[in-house]
Amino acid sequence: MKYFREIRHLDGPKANFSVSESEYLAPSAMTQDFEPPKPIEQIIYSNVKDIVDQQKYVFESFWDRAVLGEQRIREIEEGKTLGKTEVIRIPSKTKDLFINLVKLAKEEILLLLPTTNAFLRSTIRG
Amino acid sequence: MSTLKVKSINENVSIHVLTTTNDSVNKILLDLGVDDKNNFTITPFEFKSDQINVSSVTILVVDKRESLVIEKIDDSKDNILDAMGLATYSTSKPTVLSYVNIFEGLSKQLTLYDHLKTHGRMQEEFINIASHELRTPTQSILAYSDLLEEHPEKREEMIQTIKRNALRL
Repeated sequence: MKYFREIRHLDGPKANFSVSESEYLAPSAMTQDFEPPKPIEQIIYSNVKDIVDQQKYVFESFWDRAVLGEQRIREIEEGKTLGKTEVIRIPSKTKDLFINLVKLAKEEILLLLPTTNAFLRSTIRG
Repeated sequence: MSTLKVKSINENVSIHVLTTTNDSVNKILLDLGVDDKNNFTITPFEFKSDQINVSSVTILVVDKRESLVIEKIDDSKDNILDAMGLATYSTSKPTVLSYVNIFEGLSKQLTLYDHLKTHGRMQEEFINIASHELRTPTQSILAYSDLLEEHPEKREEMIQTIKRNALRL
């Protein structure tokens, strides 16, 4: 872990990918699907700005929902899930997270809108 | 709101929204065809400025596992980004379940308030009807009693009318 500035844990992602300021890279197939595992034979690469930006957005939304690596290690060691609570100060980030949470809901959504303007903003004005 | 409706219909996700209402909100809900079917429940509440504000934050809880609570800093703004203040996102079970409890408590309280209002209205209607039903025959009895003194020759007929009105009571 000393090689990374920060590591976070997230349940659920099904594929690997890397993204930088200008490039996107992903294996074309999941190597763990093969037994024994094979080296990666083909990769998807792009330096198209729109694709790189889209993948950065995907990474950011995963990153926001992930828990700190140290915390996850503690959870595994202690056998209990602690979860995380964080303050978000950037409204655009809050809006993206709100939309993602709604999209990813599987069973139930509870939503309290405190004012009629809050309702109108969320319904009409996006 | 249309996204929520699609989630409830296509993915069978249970949606419960607590929101203040006015004519504009009611019209949108009507246009969207939002009713209490398809796992989509909207509990409206009226907010009056002289009452305690129900909440100053938007609360979103998903699957009882994640919560997002957004402060409003300026409710007059049209742009959602200008209206938002700080937000707290949590996957901590005690925190998320606390918000679920707040939400469900508020929802029950609003439902009870609604029942009380309905009950009060029904009680008022009953009193009005009962009062009318009591007043009408009583007035007839009093009127015929007066007439009886003035026209003793119609005694039998008037006594029958008085009896009939007394039976209505």
